[in-house]
Order: sequence, then structure tokens, then C-alpha cells
Amino acid sequence: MTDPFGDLDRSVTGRVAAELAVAGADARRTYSMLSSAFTEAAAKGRTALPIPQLAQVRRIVAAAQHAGLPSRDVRELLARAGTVAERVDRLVDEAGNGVSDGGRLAMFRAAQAVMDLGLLLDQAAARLQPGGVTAGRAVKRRSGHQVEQPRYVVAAADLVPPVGAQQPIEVTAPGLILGLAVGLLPRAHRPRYAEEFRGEVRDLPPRQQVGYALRQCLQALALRRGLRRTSRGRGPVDAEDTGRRTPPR
Amino acid sequence: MTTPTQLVLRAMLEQPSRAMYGLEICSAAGLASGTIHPILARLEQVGWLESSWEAIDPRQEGRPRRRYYRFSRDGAELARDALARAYRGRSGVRLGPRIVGEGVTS
Repeated sequence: MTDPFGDLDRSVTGRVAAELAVAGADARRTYSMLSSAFTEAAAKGRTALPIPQLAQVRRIVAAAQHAGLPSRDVRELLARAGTVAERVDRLVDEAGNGVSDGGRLAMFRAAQAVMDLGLLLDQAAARLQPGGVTAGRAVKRRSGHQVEQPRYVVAAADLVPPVGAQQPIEVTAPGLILGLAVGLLPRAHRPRYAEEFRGEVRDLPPRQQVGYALRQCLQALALRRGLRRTSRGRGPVDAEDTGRRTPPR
Repeated sequence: MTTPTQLVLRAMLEQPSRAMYGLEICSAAGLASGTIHPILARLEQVGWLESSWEAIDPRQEGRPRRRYYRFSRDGAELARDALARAYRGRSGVRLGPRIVGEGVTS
């Protein structure tokens, strides 16, 4: 599995880049481990996991077999994904104004890795429980008390958010990329931006639509930061808002 | 204030009372489509811009609604002041026509 931060110029963003590399690698490693394990488990009819080193995953399957719901272990995995996500989130904030385009791309990839992980957990939960509920809901129902959901663990449905009540985003390449961009935004803002982006992309010629969607993805974390500042009610307009500074003379 | 923010403000100040949606603003500001929503969110946050949905029925029109942005009551004046300050203090990219000798170019 490729390190999502392998091409990052660490000299540009220094400590932040190094920490991002760790966070991204952690997410990617977890994703890789779970992906292999669940693929094999599915291929073998979920009866066994012949990967002895993946004790954590084995416990999930065992729990699923015996109890029906992978309560504690799924909760641990969700917590781990949440920890990674929190780290990425914090680094995005810390990187703030000085981050280069390469750094922002790295952050985007880190967030994407975490979202991959969230998707995988969803898939795992769906496989492990015939009802197909998400892992988070399974945890909640099984344990009988509220479990804090990691902020970045995004359910599959969030990647293609509803636009209005009955207008799903179109399943096209731009639509899916925009769904990813919207999935990076705070939950409360997703419906608005899903509709806004969708309204704009429809006005572009087809060959410009993918470029538009990709640029939205690259800007999504900057937008997320702006929206989070909005909810905190801070930040002057002179502050950085796109990651680009006015170049010196 | 960043150069893209200044470009967005200058574009909108061309017709301060007009509401524009994202693609129009990008085009008017000379920025790539899909790059301005962080800027618009910040300007909306500080109260310089207001946004609202286009008043159409998406089903009837066969397309999604657009989100239109316009200056708030004081927003245009605040934006002009900020641009003037940025212009006086700027040390970077040229945003307007450059005076060369006695003529005006580019």
C-alpha cells in the first residue's frame, strides 16, 4: 500500500508534514489491514480469518459469529479511526496559513485515507451483520448507551449526500468527486454545499466538470476550516482563507 | 488580505448591488472555477456578504438552485476600505492596470 505522504516535500512544512505522514500512514496501515482481512473473511464465507497476525480483526469476526454484533472491537476500531482523524484535523488547523499546495494536498489525502477507513468500517459492519446497519449504530444498540462517533468516520451515505429532500447527487465522475469534497465539510454544512456545488457544476461544459470537482476537493479543507471558524465566531477577513499568501514583491 | 480575496471583492464591487453565484464570481475575478468557496465563506462569516438560494423550483426548471452572493448593507463600503488599505500597503501582485510612462497598459 502506498504511503499517501510519500511525495510530500517535508522540508516545506516541517514538523506538520512529518506528523501528517505519521497520521496518514497510520490511517492507511489500518485501512490496508482491515481491507485484506475483511476481503479474505468475505471470500471464506466469514467462517474464519486465516491471518493470525490480525488479532484485532479476528476478534471482530469472532464476536460477530458468537454475538451477532462486533460491539467492543468495532468501538475500538472506531476510536482508533477517530484518533487518527482528530490528529489530521488538528494538523490542518495548525498548518493554517503557511501550508503549501503540496501540504494541503497531503492533508486532503490524509482525510481521504480516514474516510476510506470509515467506509471500510461501514462495509465491515454491513458484512458482519445481515441487517446492514453501520458499525456506529451497532455499537450503540449493543452497548445500550451513547457512543461518541469519531468526527471523520464518514458513512457511505455521507459521501453522496442528499441534495434537498429527493435529489440525489448524480452518479457521475464529477458527482462522486463532489460527494467526496462535501464529505470533508462539517456535517451541518454538507446539504448546502452539495446543492451549491451541484448547481454550479451543471453550468459547466462536461469537460470542465471534473476539473471543477477536483478543485473543490483540493479546497475542501480550507472551506472546512473557514466553516469551523464560523461556528466558533472568530477570525478576521484579513486572515488566510485559501492557503495562498500574497506573494512578496 | 490574500490576492484571491482581493480579486473576488474587486469583481463584486464592479456591480455592488448585483447578486452573483459562484461561477459568475470566478469568471469575473479571473479565478479558476471551484476555488472561491473558502473565500466566500469567510466573507459571509464577517458579514460582508450575504447569500441566498435562487428562487426557483428545481423540478420545474430541471436544474438545481444556485446560491447567490451579494454585499450586505455595509459590506460594499467595508470591502472598498479594505481594498484601499490593501492597495496602500500592498507589496505584491498588481491588481489594476499598470502605468508605463504616460500610457496605460495591460
